[in-house]
Amino acid sequence: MTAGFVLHVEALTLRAGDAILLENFDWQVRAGEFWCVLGKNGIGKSTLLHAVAGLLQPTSGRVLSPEGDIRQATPQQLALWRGLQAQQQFDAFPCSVLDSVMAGLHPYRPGWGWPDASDRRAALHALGRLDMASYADADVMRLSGGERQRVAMATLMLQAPQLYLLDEPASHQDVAAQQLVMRTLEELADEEHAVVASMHDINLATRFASHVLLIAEETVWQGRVADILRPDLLEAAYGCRFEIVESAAGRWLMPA
Amino acid sequence: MRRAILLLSCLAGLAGLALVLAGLCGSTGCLRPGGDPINIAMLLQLRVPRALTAFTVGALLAMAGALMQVLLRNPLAEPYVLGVSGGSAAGALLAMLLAASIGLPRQNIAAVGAALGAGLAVLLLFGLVGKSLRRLPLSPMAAGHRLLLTGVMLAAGFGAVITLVLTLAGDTQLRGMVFWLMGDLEDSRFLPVAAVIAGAVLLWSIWNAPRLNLLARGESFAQLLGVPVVRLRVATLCAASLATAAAVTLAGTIGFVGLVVPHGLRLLVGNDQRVLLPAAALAGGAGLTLADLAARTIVAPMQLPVGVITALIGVPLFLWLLTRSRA
Repeated sequence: MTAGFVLHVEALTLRAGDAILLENFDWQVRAGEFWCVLGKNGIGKSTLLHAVAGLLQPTSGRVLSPEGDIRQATPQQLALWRGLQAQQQFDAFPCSVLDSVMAGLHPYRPGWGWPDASDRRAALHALGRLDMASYADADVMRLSGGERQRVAMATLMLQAPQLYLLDEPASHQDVAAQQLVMRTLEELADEEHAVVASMHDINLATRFASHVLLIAEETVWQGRVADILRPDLLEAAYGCRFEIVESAAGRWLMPA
Repeated sequence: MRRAILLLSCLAGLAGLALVLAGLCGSTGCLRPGGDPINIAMLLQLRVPRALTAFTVGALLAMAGALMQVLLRNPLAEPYVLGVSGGSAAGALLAMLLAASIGLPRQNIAAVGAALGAGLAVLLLFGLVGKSLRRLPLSPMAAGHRLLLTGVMLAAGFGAVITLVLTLAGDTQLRGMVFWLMGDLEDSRFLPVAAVIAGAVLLWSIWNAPRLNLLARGESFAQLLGVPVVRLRVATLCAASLATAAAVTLAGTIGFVGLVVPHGLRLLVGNDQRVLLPAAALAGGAGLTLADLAARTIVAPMQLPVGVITALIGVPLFLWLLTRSRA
């Protein structure tokens, strides 16, 4: 298998009903990279994440982890390779935030053991990085949407897969929390891990991501942020004009 | 963990106490040392199997309810919601009707009909929802809806069959049928089989409890953390259906145990299936044993149907727990 890659997507075709979302799509993600997946509503961002995570059978093509085709892997092996934060969290039963986060440890100890002090410390540490430590004893059903989403992210951080997949991790966050979430994701993409997050906020992607996958109706652009997040490509993808606004803090892409 | 052991020990003590009480006491009063030994032996022979039957049925129903609540991710699900009990009752009543028309003894045939009806209901359910059970639901909201709606429709259909049989039945049979529907712990011939099933379902549940914990938080969530969700859901549905079918075949449709016991325990001890499932078995068994003891002794020598007692205790208890949890 291609050395150094965390994820290798080969000739992937994805359909939703009769519509073709992606056709013959090749993509490689290396450790240390932070990819943002951008594109219009319903263009296939979530479907791509689900297919990469192995929740969804692609119409054709293969998804490869460093160990090979993910169709040959057990759920347990997959859980150590990738984790996915869903777009929405829905709880049917009450559960404390700390217990909810410690569910992320299941791939490492699938048996019957009770969590010990070090597990609790790890969960608290993950919550602390997302400014949620004070909610450790709260009930997940009483959290706000943004708080619940950060609990889901702390769960994913405890799972600590090689490939972090996140479906719109900034969508329910306030402006300050968006920065925190994106900064944390940037940190997570280290020598052994890669991050792929679908996004709607182009400027957050510009600031924090290293690479961008821009999905348009007819084509897909991929590459480093500076090469892809250009007004002409964005206009082709979103169907609205973009202007560049220069400021002391950096370059902003403003829809006009 | 220490709390879990303490709680389970308490429940085990309660269960033992309930069994001893129900074995010694009955509609003719409680046994005392120094009584007529022949009389004592005779009463024990009647009461001990009945107490054990009540315990087994209660344990089966509470476990089935707890499993169904996880499977449907709905804290208000119960063992009868998917129509297994409806099929079982329709089968039992049809068998009683047929037996009367060709002159066979009623008791023998009812249990056979109940088992066949439960089997038919499970087969219908799997036939109708098998496809959606084999697919992993990606949206956390819609999961289980298809299963739930199909089950509710099956239950409605069997309900119509039950009403039809009650209409067709002669006056002499009607009383027996109505009592069977309300739940009847008299007949303990299937007790060994049901006890084996209860033990197997309990062991399976305890073994799979860590995975069920994740399933309760979402199907795709569990799959992403390494749980083979499709297999686990089918197995959970099988275990819950088997437990329900065994309980209904043994004792008719006794209500509220399968809903109130797991839901109440969850409000008291939380939703860790490793604790909740064995606790449900113990509390369900003890609860139904005590309810049956009350049914036999409150207006002794007359005996009340145990289903009346479980409803009379279950309804206010459940409402109280509900208001308490939202406060």
